[in-house]
Amino acid sequence: MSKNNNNSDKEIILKIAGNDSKALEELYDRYSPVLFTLISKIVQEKSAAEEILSDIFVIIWQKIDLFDSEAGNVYTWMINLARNKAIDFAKRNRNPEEMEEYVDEYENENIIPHLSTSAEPMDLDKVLSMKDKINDSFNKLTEAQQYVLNLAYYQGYNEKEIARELNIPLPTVKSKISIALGNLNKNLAAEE
Amino acid sequence: MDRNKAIELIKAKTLGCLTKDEETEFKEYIENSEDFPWDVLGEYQNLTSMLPILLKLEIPDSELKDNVARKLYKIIEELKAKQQAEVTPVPETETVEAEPELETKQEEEKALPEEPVKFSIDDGSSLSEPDLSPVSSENALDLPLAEQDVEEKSGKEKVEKIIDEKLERQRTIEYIDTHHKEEMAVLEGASKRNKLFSIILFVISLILLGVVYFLLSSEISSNREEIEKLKIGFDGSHTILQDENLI
Repeated sequence: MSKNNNNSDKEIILKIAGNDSKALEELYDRYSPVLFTLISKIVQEKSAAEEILSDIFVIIWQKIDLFDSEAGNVYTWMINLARNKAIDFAKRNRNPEEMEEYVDEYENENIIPHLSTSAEPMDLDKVLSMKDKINDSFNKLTEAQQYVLNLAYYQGYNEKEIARELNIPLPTVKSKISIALGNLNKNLAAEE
Repeated sequence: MDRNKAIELIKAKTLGCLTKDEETEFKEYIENSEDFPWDVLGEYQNLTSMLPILLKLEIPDSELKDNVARKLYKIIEELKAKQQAEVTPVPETETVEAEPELETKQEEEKALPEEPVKFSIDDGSSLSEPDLSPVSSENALDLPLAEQDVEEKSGKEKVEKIIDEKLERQRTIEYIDTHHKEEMAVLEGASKRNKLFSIILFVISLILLGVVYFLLSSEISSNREEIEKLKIGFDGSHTILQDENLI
């Protein structure tokens, strides 16, 4: 559990839900480096990454009610929120005409993560403690598998765009993604 | 849809690379399927979220935290102003319309956080707002009702203004105290160093002046001695020439 100030991630979220601004600060201190790293990787521009990071904390403050406290999966929720927001920004820059208008409903539907309640809750400390295992599991994937995962996760390409980028048929992309993620899951399970 | 196809969709979904058609298909599947593999979705949501931990960590600038706090504070102030603007119409009768107004306000308060976000700034909870509820008719002075209303309103406005100013001042002090403590310490240190440096410079200048004075005065005295010697030499030659009647 992440307990810098004797508060777990979940406790912090509950405090934010009670309008505790210090809890939001605690969440910022805890999560801003990893979120900023992820956002910077996606948008490649420091000022945009900073803007997105601050937008994320505004969303958290305003829409904490949309966090599923039953799932309690703070780490996964935060990472998905940051990724969705950054990918949305990148896609709007890439293909603005293909994007829907960014309104509240759009944000609730596409930016705020909807997590399964059946998963084991994750927090930052737990994931950090698994870093070496995750690294080993990822390095066991072939270069092609790693590349496909990168294109999808950090570039925000969908399967068709990946097929176009790599000049390979769509079914091959689907299969590569499925195998890559399946292998990563198996490798990690074997490490544990 | 069979389970294998569903799992393939889940994998692509958690990587965020479904096409638009597949997104629709996935949503329909979730809504209509009784045996949707939620455990698999959760497993892959967790798995893909671990990927960023492999990236080389980048720390955002410390000023960004202040920007976030300012952004939140601004939003909350705007919402407060909006709330106040909506509440301004005064009900004609106090009892009948008071309840619905309270309800809407409470609903808004749930959606919009009441407490200003200051991050490190102490929230100043010790400075509670005074009770500004209208004076009851029992306690009211013997003034006409219209005059009472005007005085109450202007009194409230004054008190609110004073409190706002005090809060703002306190927030600013606390903000500087908490956010710029290190910078202040560095500045104070630098100022002390500068003072010390100035004193040292002054002392060195004094010493240099002394040395220059000493050198010049010794030069002057040696020149004087030289002049004296020349004078004596000149006087001697003059007497000899006089003695020999040459001049």
